[in-house]
Amino acid sequence: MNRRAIGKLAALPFVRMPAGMILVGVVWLGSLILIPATHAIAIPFVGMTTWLAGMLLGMTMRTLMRTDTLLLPDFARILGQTGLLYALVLIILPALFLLGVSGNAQNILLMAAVQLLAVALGLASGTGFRITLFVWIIFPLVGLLPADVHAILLHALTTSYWVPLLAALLAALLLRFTLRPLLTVSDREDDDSPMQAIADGRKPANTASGMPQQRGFIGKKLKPILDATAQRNLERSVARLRKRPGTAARMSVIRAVLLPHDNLQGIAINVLVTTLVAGLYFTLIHHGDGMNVGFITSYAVLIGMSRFAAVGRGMVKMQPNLADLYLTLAPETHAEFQATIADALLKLVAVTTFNCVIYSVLIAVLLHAGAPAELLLTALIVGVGASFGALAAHLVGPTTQTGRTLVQMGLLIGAMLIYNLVLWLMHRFGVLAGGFAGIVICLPFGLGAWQYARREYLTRRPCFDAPLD
Amino acid sequence: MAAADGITQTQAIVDVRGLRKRFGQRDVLSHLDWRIPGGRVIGLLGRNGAGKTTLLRCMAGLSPIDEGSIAILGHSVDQPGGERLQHIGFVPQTFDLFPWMKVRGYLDFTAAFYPRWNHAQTERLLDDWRIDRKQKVGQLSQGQRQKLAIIRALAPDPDLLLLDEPVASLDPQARRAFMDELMRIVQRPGKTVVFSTHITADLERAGADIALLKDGRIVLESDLPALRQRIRRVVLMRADGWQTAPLETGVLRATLDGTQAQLIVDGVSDDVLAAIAEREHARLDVQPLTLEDLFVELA
Repeated sequence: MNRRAIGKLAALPFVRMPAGMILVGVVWLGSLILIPATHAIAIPFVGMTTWLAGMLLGMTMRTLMRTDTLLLPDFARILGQTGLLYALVLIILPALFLLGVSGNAQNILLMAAVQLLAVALGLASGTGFRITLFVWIIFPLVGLLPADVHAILLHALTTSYWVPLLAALLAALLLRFTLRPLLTVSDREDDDSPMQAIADGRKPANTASGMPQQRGFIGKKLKPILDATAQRNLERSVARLRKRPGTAARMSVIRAVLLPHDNLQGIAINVLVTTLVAGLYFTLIHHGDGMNVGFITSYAVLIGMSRFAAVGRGMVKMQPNLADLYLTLAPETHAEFQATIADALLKLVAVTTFNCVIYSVLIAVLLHAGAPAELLLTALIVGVGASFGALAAHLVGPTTQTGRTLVQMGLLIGAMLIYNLVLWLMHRFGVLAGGFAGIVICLPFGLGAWQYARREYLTRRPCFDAPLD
Repeated sequence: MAAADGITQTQAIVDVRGLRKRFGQRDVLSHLDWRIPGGRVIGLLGRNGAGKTTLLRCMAGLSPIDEGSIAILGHSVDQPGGERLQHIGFVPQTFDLFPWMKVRGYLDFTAAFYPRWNHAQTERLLDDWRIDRKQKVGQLSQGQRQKLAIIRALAPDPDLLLLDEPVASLDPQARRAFMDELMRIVQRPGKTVVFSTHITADLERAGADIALLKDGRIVLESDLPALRQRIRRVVLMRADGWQTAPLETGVLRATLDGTQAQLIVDGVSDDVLAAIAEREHARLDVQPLTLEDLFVELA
């Protein structure tokens, strides 16, 4: 056993993301110690922090797993042994703590299996597998189940040995899907715009060079179509600029380069695909009773806002590419160049708001919502405010991977909370008064944040250095 | 357009004064002064990590400087300065063009922003260098990307070309073709080229002047014939062998091996060498150095 190599690999998450790992570690350990005293509160905390720890491990793995690393002697075995070490700590240790509280073997096994599932989910999320959105959707779906099914599930959870086994199998399946592409040596395929990558759900936002991409069946089929629309859009924009040079035409060309798939056809294709997938999904699960339409519709904002994860990452990843753009545009001042970039990205506010509204329409139609106007108006108001806020946060926010992830998580949670607040205001005070209150809450915040961020961004000198992570 | 708003060939196209550039606590460039007149081809030499890329990026205005000043085409690079920037062609060491764009789209996009763009030359080079216009930039090989970057840099007919190891990824044919193209450009009045390279044969073929970057400064500037005249290999031979080097002043390196004393000398005249040979009763052989030998001795 190569103890030194295992030690180095095990320490890597702490070296790369010390603050995140220490914070998660402290909360995890604190919750673990509290299990004997108050296990009902402590155990969910252990599960949640395990999921977060898994995510940080996944983020570290993603940057580590590239061709030259995979070719290191005995790397896969050493990685496996390191994984066992983490499994011992994150899975076995909590189960042993629970053993001190309850002698029930089924409970212990369930705890271990859930911990394994939490690690697998975290790893999947951290490596860029877009599983988190599906996990969020599970909770309302559980609420849709009939009471009898609920009771059966609850009984099974506490008595059946099949549940831990199923959870472990699910975790194993998830780990296989997550780890297999990471452990495969493949050709580099880095030909998407960093700003675009996540928008189409085809590629994780944090693709490292040399990394195999997790591109699904739909993504593979969509890519050439979206690329063709991007090419046509660019050609049209360039032709317009040549014919009638001006600020608007110039900006249109720059946007066609920075956000290649955010053209009318590209947006339409994305909306169409989402409509088909969502339509199929809701047709399959639709029961009608007990469904909180407002809560479900807030996912429209969540899906729309997920676009900004790519912006945060893209802003940093794109720095070297911008050098060429800088020389091409030949601005008078650095501030002029920064203003061009910031203003080009404003298109994202329109695109995101449009997507939020369209997805809300979609959900409202599919769920036969009683007050669709409220839902649409809320999506519009929150979409505009949250998009401005998100763009502002990513424009001048942290450049580290952990920082960007935390900002994005904060933005998503904030947007969903505000969505539900505005919707509640409309229910409580009517569409006009509630909508007005929503506008007062969202727009000044979003616009203010955007104006501040733009001003701050303009004072910064453009950076063309390649990012280190 | 006249090169750089009235800058003539005798005026400095590049004027670097007291340049200091730090990365963390490390000075990469320190008190660097460099003046490049118009119409010259300069080969920037230096060992790995000497700061060649940093210097070229600072000159292109792509990397902020800590102290000193850089004026390109008569204007400070503190700010990009608008149209002036379009008179600079820059080929970086690694090609961070837009990998998601197709070659055709990328060149069309770039051309749309330039008032002058040599379409004929661009098309010719794309054909000569066999670059598929329909391919995505990200799918090109490293060498093809380098060629594309060169084509893009040459197309606006820049007055100053800054090339950071432009031929590093090119095959011998492409390297030769690139050097031919470079020579064609330099023959046009007022064009200035600065390129860093480790392939000294290319500098010899181009007849480039040499600038050596060492310890954060330009420590040597010379044209190639003068450099060859100045720095030479001297071999002194005698049957008795050598205990000490026969000369100290002006000797860069001395190797004593049996009957031979091999010296690399800098600026020692033929008369002095002949006098030493006579004094030591040795046979004298003076040999010219290749640029690669010179680089090894000086860098």
